[in-house]
Amino acid sequence: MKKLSADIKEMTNSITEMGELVAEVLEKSVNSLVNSDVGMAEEVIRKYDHIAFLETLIEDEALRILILYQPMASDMRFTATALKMVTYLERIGKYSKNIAKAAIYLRDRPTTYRMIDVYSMCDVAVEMVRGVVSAFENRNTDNLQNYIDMDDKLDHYRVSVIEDNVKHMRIDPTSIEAYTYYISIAKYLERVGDNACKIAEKVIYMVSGKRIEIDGAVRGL
Amino acid sequence: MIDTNVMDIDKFNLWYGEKQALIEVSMNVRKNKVTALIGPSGCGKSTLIRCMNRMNDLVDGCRVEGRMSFNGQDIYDKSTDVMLLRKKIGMIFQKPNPFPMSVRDNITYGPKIHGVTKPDELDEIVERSLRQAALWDEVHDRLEHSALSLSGGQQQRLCIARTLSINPEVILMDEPTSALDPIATSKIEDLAGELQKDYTVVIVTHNMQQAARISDYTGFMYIGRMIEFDRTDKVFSKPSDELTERYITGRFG
Repeated sequence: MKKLSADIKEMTNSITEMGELVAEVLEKSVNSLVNSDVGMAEEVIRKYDHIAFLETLIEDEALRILILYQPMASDMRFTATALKMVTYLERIGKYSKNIAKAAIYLRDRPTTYRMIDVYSMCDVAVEMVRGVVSAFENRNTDNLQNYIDMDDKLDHYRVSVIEDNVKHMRIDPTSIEAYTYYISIAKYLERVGDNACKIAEKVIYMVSGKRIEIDGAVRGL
Repeated sequence: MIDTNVMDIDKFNLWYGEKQALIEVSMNVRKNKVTALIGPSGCGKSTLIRCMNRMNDLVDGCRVEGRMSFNGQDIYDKSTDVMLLRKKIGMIFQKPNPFPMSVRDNITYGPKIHGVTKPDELDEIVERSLRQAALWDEVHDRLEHSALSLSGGQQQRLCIARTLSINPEVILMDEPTSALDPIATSKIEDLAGELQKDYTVVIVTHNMQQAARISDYTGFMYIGRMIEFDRTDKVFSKPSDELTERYITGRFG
C-alpha cells in the first residue's frame, strides 16, 4: 500500500498544479479583456488545451488507481473527488477560454461600458478557485466557510452587469452585439463560481465524508 | 421495514484455556440481512462465528461469558438443545467438505436424521435445496454421482444446499470462497445475496471487497474486540474508528 500512498500524493500534486493553472488562466482571461491584450487572450486559449489534456491524464490515473487498488474509505473518497474535480476544473478552463475569445472579439469593438463589475466578479471567482484548490491540497476545509456569500456576490454582480449593459443597449443600439458579449462573460464567471462550489462540496466530502450542498447547509460546517 | 435481530450478542467473552480470544464483543445479527465479519488473522472473527452455533463446544478448555442469544433464547443456556440449534444455524466452511457419497445422499442425509423418510418428500427437498443453492441446473442429471467428482465451486454450493435441506434460519459462512477461483467465488457471492430473501447470512471473509459487495452490515474485529460494527456502506466509505480506516485502506501495522 506504500505504492497507493505514493500514487495519491502524486495525484494530489497533479490536481493542485492543474488547479493553479486554471486559476491563472481565468485571471488572465479577464485581464486580456480589460486590457484588450490579444496576446494574453491567445495564451489563455493555448493553455486551455493543456488543461483539457491534464483532465484526461488525471482521469486515466484515477481509473488506474480504482482498478489496481480498489480503494476504500479515505482513499476511495480521495479518488472519487479527484475524478469529479478534474471535470469541474476543465469546465472553468473552458469558461476562461470563452472569455478570452470574447476579449479578442471585443478588442475591435470599443464601447462605453466600464467593466468594473466584471473585474470584481473575476476577483471573487479566482479567489474561489484558488480556495478550493488549496483546501484540496491541504485537506482542510476551513476556508470554504464563506462560499455561499461569495456565490451570492457573483449572482448580484451578474445581475448588475446585465442591467448596465441593457441600459447601454438602449443608448447605443449599434453596439448591441458587443453588450451581449459582456452579459455572456458575466454568465461564464457566475458559472465558474458554481463549479467552484461543486468542487468545494466534493472536497468537504473527501475530508469529512459528509455530503453538503453549498447553497444549503454549508453554514453548519 | 424495521430490522429485527435474529441474534443478539452482548459483552461476550471467550477463553481458550488461559488465552482470551473474544473480549466484550457486542453486535446484532439482523434478520434477512448479510452480516460480514472482517479483521486480520487471529482477530477472533472465526471464533465468534463458531460460537454462534456452539462449534466451540468441541474445543477443549473453551470457556465463555456474557450473552449470546438466538431469537431471544440464550445459546449457552444449559437447557439449549445444541442439535436443534445447529439445525437452525447451519455452517459452511472454508474448504468444501461434502460427504463421500452421492450428490443426492449429501442432501438427504440431514433430513433423514431429522425423520423425513418419504421418497417424494426427499426428492422435493433435493430439488428445492439444489435450486436454492444455484446448483440444480448443473447437477440434476448426475444426482447419483459422487459429490467428490464435482468442481470445488460446485462442492461448496452443494455444502450450502446440504445446509438448506434442513431449513435453517441462519447460515454461517467461514471464508466460504477463499479456496475457490474467481468465477466460483462470484457464484457464491450471488448466492449469498439470493439467500438473504429467505435466510440470514453471517460471513467471515478476508476479502474486503467481498464484504463490501455482499453484506448489509460489517463488523471489524481486532485482537478479540469488535472495533466497529455498522452499516457496510458506512464502514467502507467513512469508518468511525481510526483502526478500521487503517485496516481497510491497507495501512496496518
